[in-house]
Amino acid sequence: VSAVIPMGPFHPALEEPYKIEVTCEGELITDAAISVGFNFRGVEWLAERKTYTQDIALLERICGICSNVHTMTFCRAIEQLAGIEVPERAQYIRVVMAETERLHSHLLWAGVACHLIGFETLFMTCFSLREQVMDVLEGISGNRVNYAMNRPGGVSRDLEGPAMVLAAVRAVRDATARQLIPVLTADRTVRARCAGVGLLTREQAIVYGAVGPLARASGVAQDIRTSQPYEAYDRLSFEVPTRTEGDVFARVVVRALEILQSCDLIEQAVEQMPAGEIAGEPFQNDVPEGEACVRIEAPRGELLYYVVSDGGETPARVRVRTPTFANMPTARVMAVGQTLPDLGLIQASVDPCYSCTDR
Amino acid sequence: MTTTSAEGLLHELDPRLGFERDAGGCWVRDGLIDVRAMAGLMVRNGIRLMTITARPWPEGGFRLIYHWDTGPEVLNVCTTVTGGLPTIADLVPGADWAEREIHDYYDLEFRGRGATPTLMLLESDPPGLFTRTADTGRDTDPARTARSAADAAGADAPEADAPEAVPQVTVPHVTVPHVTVPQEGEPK
Repeated sequence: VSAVIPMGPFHPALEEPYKIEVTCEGELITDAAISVGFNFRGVEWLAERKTYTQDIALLERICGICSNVHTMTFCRAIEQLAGIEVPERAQYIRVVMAETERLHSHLLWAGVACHLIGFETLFMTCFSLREQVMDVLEGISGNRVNYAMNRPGGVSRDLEGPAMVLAAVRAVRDATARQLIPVLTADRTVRARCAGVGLLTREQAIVYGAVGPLARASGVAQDIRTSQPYEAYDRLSFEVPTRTEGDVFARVVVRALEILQSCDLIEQAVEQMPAGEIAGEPFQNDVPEGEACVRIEAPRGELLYYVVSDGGETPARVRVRTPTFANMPTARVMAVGQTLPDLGLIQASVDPCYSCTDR
Repeated sequence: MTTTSAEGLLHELDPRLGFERDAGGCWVRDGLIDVRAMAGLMVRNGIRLMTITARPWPEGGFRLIYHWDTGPEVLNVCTTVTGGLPTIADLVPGADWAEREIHDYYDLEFRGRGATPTLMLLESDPPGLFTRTADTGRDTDPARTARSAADAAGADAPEADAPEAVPQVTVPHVTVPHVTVPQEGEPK
């Protein structure tokens, strides 16, 4: 006998509203339907009614975790349209901010995943490390959430405490390597709970348009930082971690390794950062006619902005395709054939953000 | 995989297609594209659909842009439509949400879909939210309209008029009672 079980919009795994309705034969999931839009705010509509400068503040509020990448991508689109050069020092500061934000996002996700697995001690460890990362973000920008760091042509604040950043990042890397990685990659309980669960093949990842750590855990070696480098990434040395298993365990491992990688990237960027200006002339909403398509590697994967200017002070079109918008439809593929108790973990393994998805 | 370069893919799709390049990638801006032939070609070559963007087109109808990831660059294939166009969601499952969202915002029909349920809107909402509200909220932002007015005045006259005087508002005087803050170590 089939049973249809609705989960959400408020549900046990995640803090944000969305709904998944699964059809089950006993405990086995035979189909799943996903509903989103509970957080719809019409940000694209609003962005076409505000000036470019006002839009920076608006778009920063799409997400409470990856707010920095939204303004960075939008500013890059403006810079592309208006032919604005970004000083080299500002490019490095943007990398430091982007990678610190990735650390914050991945540690938060790792904490939630540990909580769902039932590993409460490690959940506490992850959130304690994340707190140190939040201190770094606050130390650089003055803010813990919406950093207001990006502006067309550069950044708003200089990196004034490189020693503080380096000390914090080294502490996070040591603790991650010593405490987090061994448990997440070798612990029998974690492996038993995650290995073979929520499979997404490489072919499925491509046709569903999956991005970021989700795609990389299915063998798709796609990372915009290396395939189409931006800011200072082409001057930094790093490799993209990938796995081929395509299960929840592979996603855990990829994100855990990316925490270490982000620490290395921040260290390289701070040490190599040249002296100089952090921004050019103040931006006056002067953007010539044209269209720009810009993408960057956000913590959850590729973030795409398409911006059209008709020469006015307000953009004619702002399209925002967030990573979770691309990733979440794969949850249906991953859930079918699995048992109901694994559903929460499968959903969380996408690292979804509905605030981003719904915009 | 047969080929993954943007030129190779476009040549295989239609050798007559023109394209140009900028920092945003490779753009096909003219012509009416057979979107299903394009989707089939991309799937055969393992090319990922990033998303579909729609925007109202000044000459009427809509411009749709299919953004494909060829690896080192984005291939943006534009096509202009009026009534609707065929779906590619059966060929590229990743197009499903993009097509539903475009239907939500612009009431554009993707032919061949069994149904087009709302994605962002409520089930009871009619589609075409952005089209219905196209003229709403464009002149209500004081900061923007003030600058637009100043710009317009500057363009009309060789010397811009002085901005209209802001009416003075008299704020009633309020006496704040003096409060002594105890110093550290002092008894409170």
